[in-house]
Amino acid sequence: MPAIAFSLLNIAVYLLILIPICIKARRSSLQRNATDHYLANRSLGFMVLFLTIYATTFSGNILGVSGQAYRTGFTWVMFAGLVAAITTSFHLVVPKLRPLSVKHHFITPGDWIRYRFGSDAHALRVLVATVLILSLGNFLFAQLKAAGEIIVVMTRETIPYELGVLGFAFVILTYDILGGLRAVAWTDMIQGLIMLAGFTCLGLWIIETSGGMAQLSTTIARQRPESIQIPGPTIMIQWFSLMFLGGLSVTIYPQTLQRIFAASSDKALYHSLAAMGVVALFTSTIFLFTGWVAIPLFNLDPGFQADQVLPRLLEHWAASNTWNRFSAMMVLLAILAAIMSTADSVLLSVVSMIRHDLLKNTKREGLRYDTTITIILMALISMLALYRDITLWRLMELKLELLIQCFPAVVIALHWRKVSSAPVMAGLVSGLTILAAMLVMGVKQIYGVNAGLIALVGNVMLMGCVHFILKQAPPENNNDPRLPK
Amino acid sequence: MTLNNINNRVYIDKLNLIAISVCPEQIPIEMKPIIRVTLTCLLPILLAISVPWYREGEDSNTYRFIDGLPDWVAVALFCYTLIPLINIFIWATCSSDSEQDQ
Repeated sequence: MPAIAFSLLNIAVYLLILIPICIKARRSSLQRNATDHYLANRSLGFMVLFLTIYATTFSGNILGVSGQAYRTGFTWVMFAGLVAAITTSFHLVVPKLRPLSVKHHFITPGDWIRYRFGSDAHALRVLVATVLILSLGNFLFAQLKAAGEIIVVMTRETIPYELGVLGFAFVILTYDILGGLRAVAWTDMIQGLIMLAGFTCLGLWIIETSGGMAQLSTTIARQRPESIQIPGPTIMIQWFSLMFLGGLSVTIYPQTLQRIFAASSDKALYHSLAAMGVVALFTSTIFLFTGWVAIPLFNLDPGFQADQVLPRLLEHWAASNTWNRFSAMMVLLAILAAIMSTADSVLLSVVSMIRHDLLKNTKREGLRYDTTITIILMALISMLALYRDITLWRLMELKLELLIQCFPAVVIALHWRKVSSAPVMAGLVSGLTILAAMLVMGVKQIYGVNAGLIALVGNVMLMGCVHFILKQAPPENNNDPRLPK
Repeated sequence: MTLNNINNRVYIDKLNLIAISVCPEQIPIEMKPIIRVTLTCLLPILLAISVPWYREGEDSNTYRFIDGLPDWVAVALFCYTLIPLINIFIWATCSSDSEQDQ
């Protein structure tokens, strides 16, 4: 069978598998309200929850991970650190937020802000929601871009990039509208399994072709000695900075928070997070090794696109025999699954926030407006994704830098009982201003510390100062029963 | 107490330790929070150890190979492997506080 026909057949089979799941999810939906549509009526059990969190956490940016590992060498082991920091920082959020979310029926992150600071903090809730929507909009844009790139590679440009982007946008839009989180989580489960199978194939291939770790390291040390050396102080600060940035910001992904709210029980959630930690380490290590294996194979030319490392490696692999061609296709499908699972969850979260967090009060029955918002949003972002010239890793950094500015409002406020909305608002505004100023000036980092983290320091410092100043004012009643114990 | 009894006691204690490490439900309820907090504090320490800041003064080429990996990469990967394993223990001993579960 010709390679193109084989690729198209695989894509078609993959998409066809999703149709019955989507129909079943639609039929399982008993109510047409926000809790059912955005949280699947809080019914997600261990297996679905574990695979949906896994599939949603890993996205199209994984393409950029191998590229970075290839470009920077062994120092990119810091990506495994980022993943470990993410699994660690769930302890900051889950044990306190989960019981509150069940007791007070949270659907969106804005519900937490509304509960924590009261209905007076409307401006804070709108600002937090706007920042989250903007960062997730960027994320959705990156997923569509990655989907377009993968389709180009899989079909050797038989399907053009633009058609790939628009086609996948349409598929995601369809099952998001039809089945809400239930369809998204169930398809995520299939996508998570495809990801595990594909990444295992990739791992086995790496073990088979690398000739052993010792030989690989020796070759890298000979060809690119700087890739294996102990990193200097700036790289080490970058390493810490990445772990902080990722660890603190990924836990407040709205789609992750909504999965925390949607779990059928605490135990199901805790077990899912435990299992996710193991599988996340496995996935990150596979992608690191993929980048390192590519170092002896390809020359690092100045014009070499980092995002192209994995597709080129897979091409090289697929050319050897039929079984490898099938395995390489499995890896590409796994990446496509990772992209789709993240994109559908992000779309659902963004729409839920636009619908319920930007307005002062919203009705939570009926989904007519939600459908319209979903279609308009997806159309807008698909148009933007047709622009190709930006790397996936930079998009991920931008998203994290923006997202982390909401950390005080979501996480610090969860633990610091006495802080009120005014200091949090002041901190958030200052953090965003610092970040915007650094982006405009083109400053990505200072001494290895990421711009987002520098802005977060400004954010937290101003929040502390304003809190201290307000404390000097005449005392207020601090025995608010809403504050978490 | 005879030497044989003491040996048996030690043997039973060892078995208990193994049972606790395999099955966190075996840990007495009052011990769980202490162990959980200690292990949770260990996680950021492991993250800090994974970065080779303690070798900053050394020549950048003084690495050795452990299982084919440069030693500083092997240490980092070892720390990142321990973290999910500790996480399993922590999440397994977390109590269920939500109304939904009660």
